[in-house]
Parts: sequence; structure tokens; C-alpha cells
Amino acid sequence: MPAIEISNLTKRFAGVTALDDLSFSVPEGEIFGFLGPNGAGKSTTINVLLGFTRPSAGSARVFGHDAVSESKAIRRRTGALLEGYGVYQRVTAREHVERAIRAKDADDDPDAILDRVGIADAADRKAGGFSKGMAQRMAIGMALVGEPDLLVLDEPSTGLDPNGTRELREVIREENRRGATVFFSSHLIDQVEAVCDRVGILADGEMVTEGSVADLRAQLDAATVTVTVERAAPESLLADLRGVDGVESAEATDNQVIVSARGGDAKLRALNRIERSGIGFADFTTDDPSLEEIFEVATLGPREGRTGRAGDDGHDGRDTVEPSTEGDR
Amino acid sequence: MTWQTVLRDDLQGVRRSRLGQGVAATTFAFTAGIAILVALAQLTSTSGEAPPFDTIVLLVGSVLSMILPFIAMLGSYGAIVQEREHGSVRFLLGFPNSRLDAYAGKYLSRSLVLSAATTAGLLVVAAVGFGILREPDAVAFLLFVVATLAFGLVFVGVGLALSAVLDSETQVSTGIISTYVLFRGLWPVAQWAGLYLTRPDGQQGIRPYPEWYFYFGRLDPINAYVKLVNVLFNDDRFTPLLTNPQGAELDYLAVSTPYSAAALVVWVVVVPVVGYRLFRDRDLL
Repeated sequence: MPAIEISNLTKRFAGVTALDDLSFSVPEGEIFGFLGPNGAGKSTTINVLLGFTRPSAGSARVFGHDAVSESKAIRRRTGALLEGYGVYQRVTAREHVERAIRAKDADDDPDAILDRVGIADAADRKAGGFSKGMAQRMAIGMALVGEPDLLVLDEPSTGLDPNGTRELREVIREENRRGATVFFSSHLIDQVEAVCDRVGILADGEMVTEGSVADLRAQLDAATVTVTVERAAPESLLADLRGVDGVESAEATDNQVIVSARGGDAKLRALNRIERSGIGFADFTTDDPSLEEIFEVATLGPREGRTGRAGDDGHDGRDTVEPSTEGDR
Repeated sequence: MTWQTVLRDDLQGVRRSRLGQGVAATTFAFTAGIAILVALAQLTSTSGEAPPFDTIVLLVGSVLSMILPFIAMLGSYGAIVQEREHGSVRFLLGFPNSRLDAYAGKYLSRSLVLSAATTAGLLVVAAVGFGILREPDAVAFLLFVVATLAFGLVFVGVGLALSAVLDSETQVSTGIISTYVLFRGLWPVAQWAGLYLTRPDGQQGIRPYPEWYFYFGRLDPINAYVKLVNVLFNDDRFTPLLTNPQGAELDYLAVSTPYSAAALVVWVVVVPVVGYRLFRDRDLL
């Protein structure tokens, strides 16, 4: 049974269609990245999942429970950190966590939870005086109460400093290892890419693409692998490379072989052949499409005239790897 | 059974909020305060004879009929809409609380605060009444306490229902003011408008009024409460706060005590139920 199953979900608000026949599912145990630009419908999807908003059509189910008729059962198994929450101003951090513990009928130690999210020192302070980052840590702690089977995190890194963001990733991985499914909604691509098994990209209320980051990369144009070599590559090697399944072109300069390949396996096979050819394999770089580019193409459409991503916009999708690692992933 | 956790959490918040403290203090002041003033006046007076119990409790009841609706609505108007506006509803209903849990827990919490303050204030009234005043009536006083608590609950329910059904604190504030104006001012206007529309010119004010006039008039919870207080402490004689029935009107069921008691009970029950039904299926975010 999938952890989350969204079927033909449509939500209209006063003439505006926020979600348009949306369907996707998240298997149990997965860390699913839910990406989309602002206003794409990510929070609306979450609000439907947790019963804050009623669907106009279609359905949402969590662990088989219907989001409208069995919302309470869903929230018993879910820890949620929702964008736009506000703390109870006159209630301390410990009391916030205690509220979550009572509501979930859990037996967590509130101080242990606060310690885990790094604000044990602030346990007795009223949350009204918290910085955004401290409030965010507290809210993450509240979501962890009761070892939920599903963690729904909507823009969880909001307000967190780099250390907080790193700790958040660690918490997500720990929770996932424990067995929790994680639904990670964000418009911050690097956050999603760093931690998610699979991503779905939402735009204008529709899922425009879905898959592992590697799958999504492969769906786009081929990546360019540039191999630095000691001697010029013979034409026979280039012909051999062009015959590799997934390789679209292979060109040579005096000390470089430039291969355009679609998918990680094709690149790896091409690299292996160049290494075995004995022309002196020195180094290689790849221009894999970053999730940022995938996001851009998925939400805005393909760039006209683009044939690859050979550093044309100077972003940080470039990896440099020693040959001994035999790959770029 | 998580309405209990909502109740407990909400009480914790209300106890710490200035508005919650203010509601409790004001309720106490307008009940206990009157009794304390009477006691002080009596203790410092040289004339000797204490005022009658009924007169003072009638005064307390009349004052409560004017201020308790507003205090009660102030105490509950923010219960849900403030959580929506401040964002904490994402905790309240992100936890495994059903909307009924949230609504019932909030209703009970706000009712408890108002009822506790009212009871505390009326205990002081009782202490003064049974200690100093002439001819105290324990049964009438107990019935008065019950009627006053019910009267307060009507408006706790109205404030909560508005809080659950409207989308902003501004709307709810407008709603509670409008409710007060409706019951205190527009209700008698509507009664008169009915007479003007249904009777020929020049005969609108001729007694007896039709029975609907009283059925409608005493459905107003404020009128219903005033009627009950007037029965308990003024033998149902003339009061400036109601249309006083005369002649054939005295036989109308609408001017009877059971009708007013039933009207209060209906308001106590119907308002929160209707509010919940509308709240249950709303989009909250």
C-alpha cells in the first residue's frame, strides 16, 4: 500500500484552479521531494492530505485512509511541519512538544525531542520570543513526536542556518532509516536533491515530471563528458564510442575526448572504453543537468536552441572526479 | 477523546492571555462588585435596615443581561479564527484532533472560564445576600445561577460559532458587535416593524398585541433571560426591559416562564451545533 496516493485531485478556489487532476503516489519508506515554484499547489496538496482543505474532485489517501472521511486516522500516523504555522506565543517550547505528545498519545520525553533539534536550552522559554530558526527547530521537533510513519515537511529549511539545514537532513535520514516515509515539499532544489530518493515537480497544479533525480536527468538532453587524455584519440576509438548505446556524439581534440551521452550507464561505458584504449586517461568532467535545470525545463519548458549544458550558464552542476572513482555519481 | 487535550491546551492559553484574564475579571467585577458595594453601603449606613435580597439580585441580573452577552462573546470570539490568523491552527488540526474535538474542546474551555468567573462572582453575591440582605430565597437564587450560566453559554456559543465560520478576526469582531446590536436593538425594531406591516394605519400600537409579537420578542435570548430574572425576583411585575403583557396577552404561552426557559435552552444548543456543522466542511487554509 502506498504511503500517499493522490488520484485525480482537483481543487478550485473561487474560480482559480489550484490543483488540476493531480495524480501521484509515494511508496512507503521513500523520501519524496515535492518540488514546484511558488504558487504551484504544493501547500494546497498538503492541506488536502491533512484535512485542512476539501478536494473539489478526486481523492487523497494516506496509508489507505481517505483524507476527507478519515483525516484523524491519517494525522495519528503523520508528523507535520506546515509552512505558515504560528507558535503559541505564551507557551514554552517544552509545552509545545508536550501538546504534541498528548495529542498523539505518545510517550516521548519532551526534553529529548528538544535536544534532538538543538534547542534544549530554550525549553522553558516562551515561543513568542523565538527567532524564526528556533521556532522552526521546535516545530520540527513537534513533527517528530510519536515516531510518525509519515513525515510531511513543507519548506522545512525556512529560517534555518546552514548548520540547521544540515541537521535537518540528518534528522530526515534518521527518520527514514527508522522506517518513516518522508514527503519533503520545497522550492529549494538543492535541499531536495541532497536528501530525496525521488522527486515530483508540480507546476500550475499539475505534476509535470516525476522520478529519481537520475531518471529526470536522463529524460533531458544528453550530458557532456569531457575526458582529458595524454594522446589524441584515434578515429577508431571515436567510432567505437559512437556505437555505445546512449552515446549521441564523440569528438576529439589533441588532449580531450568529448562525449555526449544520455544516462549514467552510457557515460560509464564510454569512460571505461576510453580508459581501456590506452591513450592515457588523466581526468574527466561531466556536465550533468542539475535538478535546477530539470526544474527549469519542467516548469518553464525547454530552452530554445539548447544542445547541452556545457557550462553555458556557469551554474554549479559541474562535477570533477578522479578517474579511479569510475563515475560521477 | 482528544477534545480533552484541546480543552486542556486552550485553558492553558486562555489563563495566560490578557483577554482571558480580562473576561474573567470583568465578569467577577460586575457580579461580586455590585454585592460588595451593597455590603459596604449597608455597613457604613446609619439607617439600619438592609435592602431586600430580591432587589439586589434583580439589579445584578439586569446588569448581567446587558454586559454578559458581550463579555461572553469576547471570551470566545478568537478561539478558532485567531488560530487560523496566527497559523497555530496548523498545530491544532495537524495533530490528530478532529474538527469536532477542536470545536468541542474550545467550547468547553471558553465556557469553563466564563462559568467559573460567573460562579465565583455569584458566590460573593450569595455571601452578601444570605449574610446581610433581607428575605433571601435560596431556591430562587439557585435557579438564577442556572439561568445566568445558560445565558452566558448562549453567547460563548455565538462567539465560537462566528469564530469557526468567519475568515478573519475583523469579520468576527464585526459579527459579535452585530449580534449584540441585533439582540439589544434590532430585535424590538423588528417586532415593531412587524406590527406596522401587519396592522392597518393608526392601529399598530393598539393592545393586545398579536401573540407572534411575544413569541418573536421573547425568543431573543436577552429578553428570555430578563423574563426569568423578573419572574424570580420581581414576581413577574413591570420591568422596563421588556414589553409587559397586559389583559388578554397575559394568557399567551409566549409570555410564560417555560417559553423563556425553553428559548434559552434552544439558543444554548442550536448555536454551537449550527456553528459546528458549518465549520466541519470548511476549507481552513
